[in-house]
Amino acid sequence: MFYNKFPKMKRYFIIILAFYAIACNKLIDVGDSENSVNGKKIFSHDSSALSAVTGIYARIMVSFPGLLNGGLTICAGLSADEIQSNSSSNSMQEFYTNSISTTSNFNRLYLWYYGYTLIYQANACIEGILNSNSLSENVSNQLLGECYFLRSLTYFHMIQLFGAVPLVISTDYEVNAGLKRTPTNEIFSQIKEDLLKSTGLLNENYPGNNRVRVNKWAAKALLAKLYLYEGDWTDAESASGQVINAGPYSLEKDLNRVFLYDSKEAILQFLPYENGYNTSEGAQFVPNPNGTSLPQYSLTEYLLGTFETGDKRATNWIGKKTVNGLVYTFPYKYKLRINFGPTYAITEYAMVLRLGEQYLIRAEAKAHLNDRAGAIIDLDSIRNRAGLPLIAQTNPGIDNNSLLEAIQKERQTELFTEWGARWFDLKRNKTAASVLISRKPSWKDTDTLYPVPDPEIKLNPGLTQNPGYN
Amino acid sequence: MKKFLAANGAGYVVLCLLFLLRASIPTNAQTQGPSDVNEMLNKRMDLTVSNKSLKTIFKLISSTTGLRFVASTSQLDVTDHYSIDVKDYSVTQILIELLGRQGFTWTVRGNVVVFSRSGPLLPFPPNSIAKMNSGKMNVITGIVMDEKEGKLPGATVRVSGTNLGATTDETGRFSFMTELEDLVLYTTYTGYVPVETVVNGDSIRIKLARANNILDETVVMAYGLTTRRTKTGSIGKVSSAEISRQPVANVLGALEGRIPGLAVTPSSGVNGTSFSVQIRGRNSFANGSDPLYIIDGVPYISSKTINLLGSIAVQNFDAGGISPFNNLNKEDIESIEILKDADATAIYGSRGANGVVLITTKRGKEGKASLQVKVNQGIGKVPGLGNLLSKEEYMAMRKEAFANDGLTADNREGSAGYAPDLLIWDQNRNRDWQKYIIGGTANITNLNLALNGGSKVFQYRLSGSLLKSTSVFPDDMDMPYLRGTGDASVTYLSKNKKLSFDLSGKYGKDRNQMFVGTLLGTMAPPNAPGPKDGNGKLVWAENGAEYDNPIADLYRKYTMKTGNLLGSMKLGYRIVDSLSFLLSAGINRYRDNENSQFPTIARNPDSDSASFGAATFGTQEIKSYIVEPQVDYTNTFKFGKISALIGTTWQYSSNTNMVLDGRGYTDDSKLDELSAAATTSLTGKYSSKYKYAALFGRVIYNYKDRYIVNFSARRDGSSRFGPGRRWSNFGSVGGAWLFSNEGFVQNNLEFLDYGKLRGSYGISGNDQIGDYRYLDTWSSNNFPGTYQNNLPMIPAALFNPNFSWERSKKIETALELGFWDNKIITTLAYFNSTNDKQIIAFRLPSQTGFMNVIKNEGVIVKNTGWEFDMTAEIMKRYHFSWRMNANITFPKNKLVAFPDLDNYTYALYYSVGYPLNVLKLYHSTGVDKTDGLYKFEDVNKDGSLSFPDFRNVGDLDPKFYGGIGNTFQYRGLRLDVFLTFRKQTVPNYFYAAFFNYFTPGVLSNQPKWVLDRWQHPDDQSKIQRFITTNELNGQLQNFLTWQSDAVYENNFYVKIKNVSLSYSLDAKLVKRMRLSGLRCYLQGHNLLTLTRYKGLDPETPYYFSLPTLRIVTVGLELVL
Repeated sequence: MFYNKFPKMKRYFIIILAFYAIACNKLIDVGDSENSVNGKKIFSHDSSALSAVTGIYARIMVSFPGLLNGGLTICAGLSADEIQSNSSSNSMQEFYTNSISTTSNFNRLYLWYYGYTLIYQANACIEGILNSNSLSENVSNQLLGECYFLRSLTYFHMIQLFGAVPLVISTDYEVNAGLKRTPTNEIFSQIKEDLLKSTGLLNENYPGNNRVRVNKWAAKALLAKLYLYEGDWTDAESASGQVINAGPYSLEKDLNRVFLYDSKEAILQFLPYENGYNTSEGAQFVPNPNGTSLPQYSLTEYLLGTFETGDKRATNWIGKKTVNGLVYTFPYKYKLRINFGPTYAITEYAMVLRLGEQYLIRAEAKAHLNDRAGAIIDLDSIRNRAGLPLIAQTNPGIDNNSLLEAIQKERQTELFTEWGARWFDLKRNKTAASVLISRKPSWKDTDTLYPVPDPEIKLNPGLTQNPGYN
Repeated sequence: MKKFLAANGAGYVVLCLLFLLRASIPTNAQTQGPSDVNEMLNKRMDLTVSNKSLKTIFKLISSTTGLRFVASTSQLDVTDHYSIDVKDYSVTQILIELLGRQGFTWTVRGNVVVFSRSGPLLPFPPNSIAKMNSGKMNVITGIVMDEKEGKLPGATVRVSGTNLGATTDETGRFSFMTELEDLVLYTTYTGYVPVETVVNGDSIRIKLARANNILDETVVMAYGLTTRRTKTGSIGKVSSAEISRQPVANVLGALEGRIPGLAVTPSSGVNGTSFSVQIRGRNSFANGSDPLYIIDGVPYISSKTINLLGSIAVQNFDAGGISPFNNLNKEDIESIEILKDADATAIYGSRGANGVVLITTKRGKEGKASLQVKVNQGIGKVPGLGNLLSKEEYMAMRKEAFANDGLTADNREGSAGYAPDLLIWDQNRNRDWQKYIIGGTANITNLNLALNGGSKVFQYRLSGSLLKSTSVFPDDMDMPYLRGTGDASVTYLSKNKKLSFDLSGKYGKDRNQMFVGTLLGTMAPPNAPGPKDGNGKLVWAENGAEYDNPIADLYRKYTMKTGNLLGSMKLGYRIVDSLSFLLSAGINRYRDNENSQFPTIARNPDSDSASFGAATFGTQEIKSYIVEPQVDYTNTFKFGKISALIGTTWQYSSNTNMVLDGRGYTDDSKLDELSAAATTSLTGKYSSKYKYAALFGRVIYNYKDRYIVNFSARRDGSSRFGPGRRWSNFGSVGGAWLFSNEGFVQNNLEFLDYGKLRGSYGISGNDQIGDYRYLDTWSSNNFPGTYQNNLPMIPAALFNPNFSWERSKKIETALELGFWDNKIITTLAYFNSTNDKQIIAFRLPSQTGFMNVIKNEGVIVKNTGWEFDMTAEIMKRYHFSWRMNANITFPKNKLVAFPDLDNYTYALYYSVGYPLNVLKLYHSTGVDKTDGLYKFEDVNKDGSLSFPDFRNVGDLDPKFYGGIGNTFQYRGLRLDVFLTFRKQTVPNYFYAAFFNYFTPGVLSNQPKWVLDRWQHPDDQSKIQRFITTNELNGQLQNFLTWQSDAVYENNFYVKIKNVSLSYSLDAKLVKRMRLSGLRCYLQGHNLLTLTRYKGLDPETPYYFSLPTLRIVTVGLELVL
């Protein structure tokens, strides 16, 4: 009898066990976190996909001066001959002395790592959007265009700082962990390809208010910059020309309006994101007007000496604070520092690309293409705003070399402390060594590239160090 | 041995002793059944039968009672004919009448009565007083009661030296038959002292006293009760009396030094401070090593700190904060058990790896209603103040420092020689800022009421308490701690003992006030300006020379309010005799609100231009539910006693919290209102859910109280792991051999009353790794604002389902011995836990977009150690007694393996083969004789000091720790003195000084220890010369020193942790006052620390955290 019953019991037993197993898995299922969204779900709706992409902007703009949020401006500004730190114990000093340690935390965390977090997010968004079939086409195009642009913007600056870096364009960490450094020309091609895709996908309108997300012209403007750095003068002229003639952009006559949120000159700005901050540059550069605290960074005598007499930029874009009888200068393009008071308002946005630079790009391209007259017109539009005499009047017959020199000088005074423009100009014009050897006591020719952070090489033995850092 | 006994004037003890030994050999299954069966046996009936077979008679009884009868035909011939004529006899009596006289006994299983002839008798001990009485059967009946004459059902009564006996029924009665005469009965009952009773007449009344004997005291274990005698695992117990004697507000504070293997360290002396509680060392490399806390069956918050915002409470060497245990009233606690080894903890599965703290709260007791009123009043002060430099010494130090630096003091701010203290400020002012800031007296008032009583079936307890404790900060700052608690519980046990019910609810609410900031102001120069001017405003400068006001931080108010509800329910039903069902369920809800303020008044007008106040608000809610149905089976067979348990758990916990910032306040008095802020922003928001389910079981097999084996197993599922990794199995096996119950021990080692060898092996897990960590999540956590009205999301983690629990494999062996009538009881234990499958953040090159991904990599951490504890009754004479207990632990922690450690930043702090708390620092070669500065070893000889020059210079683990308690009692007067001791390397004063740039010689006061400094070439000193600058010879001298072993001390200290003197009034006197009890007491906590340590308190080694207070309270306890 016992044996007869057994099979039946066994069956019940199995049913109960199965039920238990199913029920148990339910019992401990908590679903997705409320603090976060699962990677697959986020690209299934237009609005959450938008959150993922605007997350890139937000990440750029968190308070610490990361790569694209003042970090570049400060580090490259120090490495060139623009600014110096007023604090001896400042960890940024090694950027000024061009002797960055291979274990420098700032270099590793805020330039290298920060760059790759943005690249990862852009890659994740690109993959997510391309794999999603539930996004509307116009949203999908806009977002993809933005992602390609933001990835390009990041790579563009990383190769300026580090030279060849691993080109990561997917999200699989197991694959990416072993990637070696990719030659810069290949990365340039990737950037170009991305930006061309971006200009194709984006339209001329900016999504939302102001100019804080990428449109077609922003992509074009970055393309113009890329062509300039590559020495592709024809394309540089054409791209910058299209931006200049696009329509919505014009130079602000008042220098103090250039970096405001509603600047007509802005092609792309990032929206301040952290409470109490306008821009990271303002927060870093503008000192407390009261008390005896020094500005964190002062302008070097070399930069101050570059300004011609009467240059309105020297008075409008440079601030001064007197402490114990000594006058300290500081970059004053952005006027607002940290402010947690009730009158706090965001009126300055972080400028990424602006028309002034496009004029200078076109001027340089035209000069190289022997369109001296056209180059002078573009250069003069910048000089005119600065209140300086026009070349067309003072020296219309200027020779090509002098014109190119004048353009470089103008870039120095117009674009100082903006995204490392001076450092990159010194590098692309191959004048870094000749200029800095007398200005930086410990200058070595290999200092034009920052070191690959040592821990990264340890973790990925496929990485090699830049010369001069062993 | 004889000498010992003779000295005690108790020669007769020998006899009893031997008896005890013999008697503790268990008999075979004589357990009478549970209530229903006993009821059948007690059923009365009339029976008139003449010359009928037993079979027929049994049938008759069956038809009336439902009982069935089984007998072996070889023993009992049921065809034999009997006659009986009785009226109103119980079945037992009938059976006795029929068969008892023939030497039969019977046991009951279910509703079956099994007959057997009294088994073969054990050989009598030669000095047994029991004698065989040829042929004649005696019926032995009696009753077993507790001290208050309450019946004790289930007590075991046996004839000493035999296996004969019975178990009491629900009325506490027993009966059996024997042919023995002049019996001595040996009665045992869990939690009571066994007694021997000489049979004297027919009706025997046996009274059992609650066990003072720690061997037979009830000890709470996982899902059940046991005793120290029969437990197979490592469980330490702290009783309510021990807890109650200590004037601490937090129960965790009462555990310090009490249990071997349990290291409890307070974070600081502020009200509500957190405690680090570690059972047998740090098991987890990178995740939580906190024990699992269970209060009345409900899992409680297992994190050391609960606060969201910072305050003075977080100023510690080891991360401190506010404890989640504050609103639990220690007077409501019955006992705290610490479960340590695998045998005791494996049944908690994935949560048991770090040990378990079981907190059991008080329940009502049978008796008439009584009200206990306990009032005490005390004071608390920071011990060890008053050793700062005098003003003259300070001025001399400053001058010496400038001279050493080759500088002349000047009054130009910003210059290296700037010395406002020597040249600008009032030269006559002399203030001990330390005394001013933390030299106050905390007043502590505590009121406890408890109402207790009930009948046999229903008991209740209601209690309430109020606590107010002010702070040692300046009186006008008013930073009190207030707490109220309420506790209500009812227990019910139906008359037929089938249904039981236990319901308890507790609510505690507190408000803790302190400030945000540091205690750096305590080291302000003696003539620093301020603190306040004539109008009561903070002073920030004198004669134009500014100085951060030393008391400004005190104005940055911090308030934390918490409310905590704990409810538990147990519903039990005894299905049959040996099988019962229990449903336990519980709820815990913890809420807190925090507010930290930065008023304009606390801002230096010179360096801080913000003319607006700011405030931060934190709110948090933690909810937890648990349901645990269980079935318990306990039965005794010929081959031993088996208890089996099977149950399931379902648990749900959620945690939501949020931090909001308010800025731009124009009114300092409104900083506790978010709505008064000009701008508000969300700075953090988090919510998580945790679900947990398990199936668990345990079987304990006890053979004659001689061999005990315990198997436990648990299958666990947790939502913290990825799909496919959620379920896992845990288990343990533990065994005990009570060798003192073996004849060869009894015969040869007479001084040994109790000897047990036990051991266990098992696997438990640690899931304290946070929630949702396997998901490839996108989160807006750190990005609470919007970007163009879009909520930005960023990738928070890589998808990684391939990690699981951390695993802990624990081995324990222990020897427990009791000597001389168990006057001395000792335990020596060795433990070894290997913790592998450690979850670490596996480093990735950051080109992947992440610094790391979580993996169960090959990291292994091992904890081993020896524990010893002892209790001894040193003297007991007339009304005087002296008892002592002591324990000591020698722990050892080691990082056994960490593949590729060098590729991790972990390599900066850890070394394979060394403890997790290793100190990797520069090795200081001491103060250089020539220049008077600390010098450090350049390990790699590259001419400069950097991380590669770090080496293992020691570790922060205690080398040994423990406690010694002495209790002296003379009539109603009782004195308890409890000492704790520890040997451990800890940072000393100089750690804090160098860390905060308070190098001796700079613009800040110093303790007198610095006077021992280097002064002249060739001076041999351990303290470097006075300097005013930080940068020396191109190095940051402060920073290097701080990162070296020069600021750590290997230190041994003994603390008089607790002294309690109490006097209970004589019972007669009390009765005359119409009270049930009256006791007054004086209690001291943390009274004295004997140490050479250079700091305020080696237990809270960061000099700028508030040390544990010295507390003295006086109190009165009335029972109405």
